[in-house]
Amino acid sequence: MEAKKVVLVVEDNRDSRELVVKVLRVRGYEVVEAVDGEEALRLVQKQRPDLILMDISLPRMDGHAVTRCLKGTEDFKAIPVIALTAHAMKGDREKALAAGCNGYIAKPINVRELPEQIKQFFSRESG
Amino acid sequence: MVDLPLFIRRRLSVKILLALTLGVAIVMGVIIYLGVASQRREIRARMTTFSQELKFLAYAGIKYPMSKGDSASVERQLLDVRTHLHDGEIAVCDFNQRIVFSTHAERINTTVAGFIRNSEAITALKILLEGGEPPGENYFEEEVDGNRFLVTIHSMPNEEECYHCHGASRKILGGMIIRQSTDETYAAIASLRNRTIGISVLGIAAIIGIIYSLLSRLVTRPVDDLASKAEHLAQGDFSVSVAVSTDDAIGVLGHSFNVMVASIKNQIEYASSLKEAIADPLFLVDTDMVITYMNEACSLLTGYTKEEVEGRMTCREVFQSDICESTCPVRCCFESGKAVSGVRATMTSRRGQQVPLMASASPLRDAHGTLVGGVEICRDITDVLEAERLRYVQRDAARKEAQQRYLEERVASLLHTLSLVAGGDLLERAEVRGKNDMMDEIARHANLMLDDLQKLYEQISSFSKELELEVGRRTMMLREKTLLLERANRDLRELDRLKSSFLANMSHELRTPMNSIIGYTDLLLDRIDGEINEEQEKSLQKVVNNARHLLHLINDILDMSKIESGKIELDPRETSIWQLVKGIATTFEPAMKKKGVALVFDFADDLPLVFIDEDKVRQVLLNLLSNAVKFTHAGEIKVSVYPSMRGINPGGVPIFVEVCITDTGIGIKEGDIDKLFDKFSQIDVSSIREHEGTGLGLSIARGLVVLHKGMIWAESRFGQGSRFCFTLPARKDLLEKPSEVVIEPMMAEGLASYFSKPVETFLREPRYAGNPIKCWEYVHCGQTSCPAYGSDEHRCWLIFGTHCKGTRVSSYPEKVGFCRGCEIVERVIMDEYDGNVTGSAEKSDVEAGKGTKRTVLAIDDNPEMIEIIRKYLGREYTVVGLQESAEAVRMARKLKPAVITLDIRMPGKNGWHVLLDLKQDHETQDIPVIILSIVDEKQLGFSLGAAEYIVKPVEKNLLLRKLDTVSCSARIKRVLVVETDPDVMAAVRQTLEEAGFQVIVAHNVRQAMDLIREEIPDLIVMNLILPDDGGADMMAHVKSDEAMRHIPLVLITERQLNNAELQELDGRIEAILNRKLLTMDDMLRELTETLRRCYT
Repeated sequence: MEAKKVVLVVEDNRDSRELVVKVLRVRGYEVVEAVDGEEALRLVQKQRPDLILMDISLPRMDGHAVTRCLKGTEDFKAIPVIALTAHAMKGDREKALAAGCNGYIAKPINVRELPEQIKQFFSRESG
Repeated sequence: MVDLPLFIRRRLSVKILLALTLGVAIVMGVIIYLGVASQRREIRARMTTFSQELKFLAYAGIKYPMSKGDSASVERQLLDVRTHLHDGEIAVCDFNQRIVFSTHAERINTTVAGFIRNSEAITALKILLEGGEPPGENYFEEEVDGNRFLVTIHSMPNEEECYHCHGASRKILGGMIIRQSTDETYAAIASLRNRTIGISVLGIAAIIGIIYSLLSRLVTRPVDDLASKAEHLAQGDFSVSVAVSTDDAIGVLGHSFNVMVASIKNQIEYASSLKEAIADPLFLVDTDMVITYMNEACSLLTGYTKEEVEGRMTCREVFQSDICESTCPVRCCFESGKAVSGVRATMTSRRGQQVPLMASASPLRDAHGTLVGGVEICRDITDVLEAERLRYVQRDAARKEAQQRYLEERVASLLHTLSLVAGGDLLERAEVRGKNDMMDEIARHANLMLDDLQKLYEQISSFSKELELEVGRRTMMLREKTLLLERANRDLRELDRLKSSFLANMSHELRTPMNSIIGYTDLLLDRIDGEINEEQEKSLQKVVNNARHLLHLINDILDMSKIESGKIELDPRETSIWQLVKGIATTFEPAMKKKGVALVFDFADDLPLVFIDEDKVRQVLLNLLSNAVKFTHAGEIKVSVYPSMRGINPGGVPIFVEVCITDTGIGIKEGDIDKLFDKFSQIDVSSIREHEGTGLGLSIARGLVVLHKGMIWAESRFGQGSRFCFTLPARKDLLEKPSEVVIEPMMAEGLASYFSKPVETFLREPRYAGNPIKCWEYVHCGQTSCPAYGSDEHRCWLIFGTHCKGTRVSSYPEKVGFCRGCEIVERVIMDEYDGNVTGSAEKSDVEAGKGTKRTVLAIDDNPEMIEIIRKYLGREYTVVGLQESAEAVRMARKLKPAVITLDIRMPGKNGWHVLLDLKQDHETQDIPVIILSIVDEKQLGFSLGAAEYIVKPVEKNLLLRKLDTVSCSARIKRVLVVETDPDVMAAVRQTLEEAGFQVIVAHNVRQAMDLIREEIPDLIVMNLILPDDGGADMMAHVKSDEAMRHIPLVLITERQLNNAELQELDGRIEAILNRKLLTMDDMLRELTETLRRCYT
């Protein structure tokens, strides 16, 4: 059994964040939480997560900015970032990908599907 | 004239001989006579002298005896004298005339009267004896007993010797009478005369002989020869000629005769060849009407040969004509002695053929003017008659045609009158020409009718004047209302936008908590936090179901608002539609099986690939299928996919694919179908409970289909089932927003039928009136069902086929329903093609310029006229031509042109009607109309509301000038603002200056009037309520002054104007801006808008 994957969940809405955290922890991931972009950046440096689930609409510094920041840093640009957004409009996906996100999961997240989506992502990454 | 014997008359030589003889005889006779007479005188003189000598002799002998009275001596002496006398006697008488002595004794003692018988001699003797001197000669001739004697008397004076007897008183003693016989002398004379005559006659005869022979040789014979030749010539022998041997007159005569003969011969030959050469039949007749000559043509005509006719037949025998004796041309000319021409007759030829003739005849005369015959020329006038008949027929036809034309003209005139009357000129009356024909009767009746009409009109017009005032007032109010409405509309649009934006934001905000609700409930249901009992699970399930429904609702609202705010963009990919449809439909199969509903597929074999955004189409399909499943409880749901026939001709390559979902469900009531696609319109409210749904599904589906340039529609029979269909594009370019105009065949056909041109014209290179069609623009409607929703489309078929409110919807009739209430304005702009523009920079300049060009709508049935107008105005205006006058109002409303030019004589709807319609439509009544017509009816034109009237042919400068005048053109540069409120003044001034106008200001009427007089402004913006209360006066002044009345006025008021004031202002101002109703910004915007719309 390999080491637990560390997932950083960046989400300003506490309920939403805790729901995701709960789902992932149940599935055996080690989850780190951040409530905004700045905290996320701090935690990335401290914990170096294997995956970041990034809400786009964050106060002050939004998800795109955080992602760009991460992807601009040599140390962290390898960390995959999956965007979580309610902006299910055309262009959101492109915007997220343009900012450096590696994937895209539209809100509302389905608690039953989310673990599967992440699992698939990891297997794609490793494969 | 003495009638000479014939042989003399005939013989010139005899005549000459006779004349010669006579002449010579007379001359000789006279000579002889004179000779004889002179001889006689000579002889008489000689004898007188002899008598004198005898007297002296005798007297000398007897004187002395006598004085002595010796009678015997005297007698002896006398006897002696007697011997010397041959036949003479001497007698001496006394003064009593008694012979005393005589040579012949028997005489003595007889009286003298017994001796001489000549009384003159006795008288002379008596005078002598009395001592007088007798008058005249003293000799006398007398004839006694056939013997001729010469008597001389002599006196015997009383001399001295005799005085002794006789005394001295007597002078005369007696007389001596000597009588001599002259017979012998005369016989000698006669013998001499006879001898002379004899010799003379002989000489004369000789002379005559010589002269005659000479004359005969030199004159008579050649003349006779000439005469006989001439006689031959006269008898028609033209071969004669005379020998010419001398150069004298005879020679000349002979030569001339020869020349004359030759000349006559030539003349005759010429004449005869002429006669033969005359193509028309010609014949000559003598006075007995016997034909003496006929030419070949005559022979051909009559059928007789010359030989048969000439000299044998009369002309009546030859010409069996219907002509009677008195009209026979030859006869006529014989009688009148003059030429007769143009006599018509019909003759029957020998072959029995009837020939119409035109005959002319002239009398023939000889040199003395004696009628010798006649010549007749007749012409076969069959052709002439035929030509005459034709001419008659033509003339008759022409007469009929003229009559027809007359009638047509009268009818046209009547119709014109009626149309003028129909056009409003009630004083017009039909023309009565006093011909008392039917048309006049009609015209009179029409006029009576028109009189009645006019009376009626006058009654009506008194009402209508009031009505007009009312309309004017209403129009004013309407303008204000329109402004308010526009403003409200603007606000509404803004609100709508805000609403959509709000909804988008709100749904996001709503979704976040929903996310949590559903998420946590799912966790609970998934026993993540431990076991839950059955009741708890049921409750949680209800929570999650309702939350999901809410989320669904929120999602739909979000989608809807995105569609409505135009934020959805497609990501079209090439897709196999049947696979997609099948895949989605299959997911419904379990649910359907549960309900006992069968799923049926019906796919065409040759389906083309479609270009779609799969997610969006999936959404549409899911919606329609879920609806179908939801409302169907038995039967089947059929999903069919077929190539669509939309936009193509039969057999063409399909450009759309049609997907239909047919169910056997509850169906939709007919009246509800229209509302079906409207938002929140789930139809049967009572069934909502059962059939849960958001009421937005079909609206979204429609929006999504429409994004694919497709259509969606429904058909249904209530209680039997429904059928929903939509189309998807089979060509990628349909989804692209083309920079260039794309013209589909259907569009081309639509245009072709619209403009009555062959379809190729538009397919190959879209052109109209000779110019390429550059672009079609339109403003789309606000309906989500509109295919052009959210875009400004350059695709012609969409425009033309679908959104032609008020025009024909040629290819998509079913779309009319969707576009009900749609405010789409389709605009066809046909820019002038400028072939000279090559450089791209220039081109863009030109195009930029075009944007600011004002539009002129040229209405003329003649495309060339439109071309001319375009040529004239193309530099300053965009000219849009219109040939169908019936479309005038629609086009004018659509284009809102600065000016309309209008032809009067057009097929279908004439210019007067168009003008009336334009002036009655509140949208177009303010557009100035310039009439360009060949008919000069300015009065009517102006009375119907035309701004200008130009009689064709149109001259460029005139047209431009008039256009500039009526459209106030670009010459609006200087704007006078009359306003007391400094804030308003400043704002208006700034706005106008920003818009590029030169602004001059006045704060009161006096200032304003001064300024107006100084430099006439192009536009006046004025506050009606000015402090010195002169606003109305000023306006009245401006509008009544010829130089200023054309200056457009824009009024600013601060209160609602009452009806009377509106009536007062009506027609004299461009716009009223009510400060109480409009905000400052709105007012300024409205002001610039007014100026821009009308004048730049």
